[in-house]
Amino acid sequence: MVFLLRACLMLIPLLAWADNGRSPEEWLSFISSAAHQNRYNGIYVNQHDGRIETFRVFHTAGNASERTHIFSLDGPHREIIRTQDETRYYLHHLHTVRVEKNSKRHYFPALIEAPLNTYLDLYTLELGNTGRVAGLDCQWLRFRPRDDFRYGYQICVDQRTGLLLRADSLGADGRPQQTSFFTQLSVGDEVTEEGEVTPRVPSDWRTQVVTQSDIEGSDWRVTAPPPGFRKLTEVKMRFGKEGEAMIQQVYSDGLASVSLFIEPEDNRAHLERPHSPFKSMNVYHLDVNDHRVFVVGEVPPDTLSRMGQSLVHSIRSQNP
Amino acid sequence: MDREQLSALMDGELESGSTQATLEWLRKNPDERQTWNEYHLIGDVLRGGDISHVQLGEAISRRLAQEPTLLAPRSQRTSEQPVHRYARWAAVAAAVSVVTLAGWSLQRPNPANPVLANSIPAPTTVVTPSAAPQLAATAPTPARAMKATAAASETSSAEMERFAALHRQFTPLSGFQTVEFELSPKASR
Repeated sequence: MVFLLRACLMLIPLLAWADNGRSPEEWLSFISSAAHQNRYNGIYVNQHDGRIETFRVFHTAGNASERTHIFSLDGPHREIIRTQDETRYYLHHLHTVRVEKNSKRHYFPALIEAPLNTYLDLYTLELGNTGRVAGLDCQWLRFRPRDDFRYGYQICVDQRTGLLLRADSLGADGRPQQTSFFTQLSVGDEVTEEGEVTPRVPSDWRTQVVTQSDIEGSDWRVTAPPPGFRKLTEVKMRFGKEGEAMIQQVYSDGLASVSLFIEPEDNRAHLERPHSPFKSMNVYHLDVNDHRVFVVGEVPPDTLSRMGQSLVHSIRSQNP
Repeated sequence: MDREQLSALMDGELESGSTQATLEWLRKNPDERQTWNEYHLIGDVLRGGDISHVQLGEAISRRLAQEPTLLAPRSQRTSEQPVHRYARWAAVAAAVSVVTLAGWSLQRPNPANPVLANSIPAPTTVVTPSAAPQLAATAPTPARAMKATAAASETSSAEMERFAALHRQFTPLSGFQTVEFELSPKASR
């Protein structure tokens, strides 16, 4: 009897989806391929904690090649050019080009990326109302977390092309915390060639290359992350010439992400009870093997503490 | 605009209208900003204890110039309860005599309390927490202890802001680098 009741309850969302004609899997595939296969350019805004930044994106696709070119329109002059093999960051204000080989990072509107089945393992996808963003009709979809280790997301998808027009990360109260949305978008052949120009790099600029082995090879490992969180990248960085090196590891479940900042402990007294100045961001602090570790992310506090507490430092043999 | 108003602002005794005008005046007059710093220095000397004259304002301004635009409106603080009325007059009266003394004592290296101005990080870095614990360590009086707590919480918040920005630049919704850093070779691990 209970089984029958459960079966009936499970049918309800299926019926709702049937009305629209696309299953959750089909929606994800529609959205994911739209970001890669369409030719488009547009202006989008990113907004969080009362701050706002504007970007221009050009995307070209065809003959199995793909290129994304993003310009920052305010703040320091920065550009990102992403191709299949590498991502180049042109940091004009630092006179630096940073090259990431085989980077797994992706950028709005390419939010939904393979493997698509993991999204449905971690979230239920719910069909919402229709909406309008950048003058285009779109369909709202909501990712509702299946466990307590992440918050929800909602997106509005261009009904004609499948491109993401708006994406919100939601907080514990279910309200938008961080939002990216197009204010203008052109899709198709009318797109200009402007975004296909590669910036000329003056000879005195520095080039930094980050390879996949840099990203993967580390003495630090989160041994028991919450379900679905996988390591996305790792960067070892330094602030100023004399600064201590700090490691940042980023883990993601496909939508939510967590950063671990690991730096050698020095004589500084500890900052007791660090608090986040941002409503959208939580923080957890612990010490591991004479290192200070800060775990930061737009996820519930339990996710941060679970990642921090399972962080292990394996000291490699000095004489291999 | 005169320096008496500057002193009143320092003591939190200005009306909110005059506060705006005085802040505007400060913004336009770098020399008066220097005076503002000196008044604080004088206040520190009068209250006793070691002098840790850190020109945080300069460092913060440099860093703010690199921040994305902040759109959240700030709530206006009005001065309802003027406190330490005497302190304002004491500061003004002591200005002439003490500024010399303060300058003199700053020039003398004090091994127990290294001059913190030297530890202000380069503009590319945010304010590190190194200053706060040092202040805390030399905080025998309640007034200084309170200051140290405030400094620690501000620094912690600055550090958190750096972590938050570094984290955001790896999320697909923003993704752009906003915090400057040097890549450090993994080989030196």
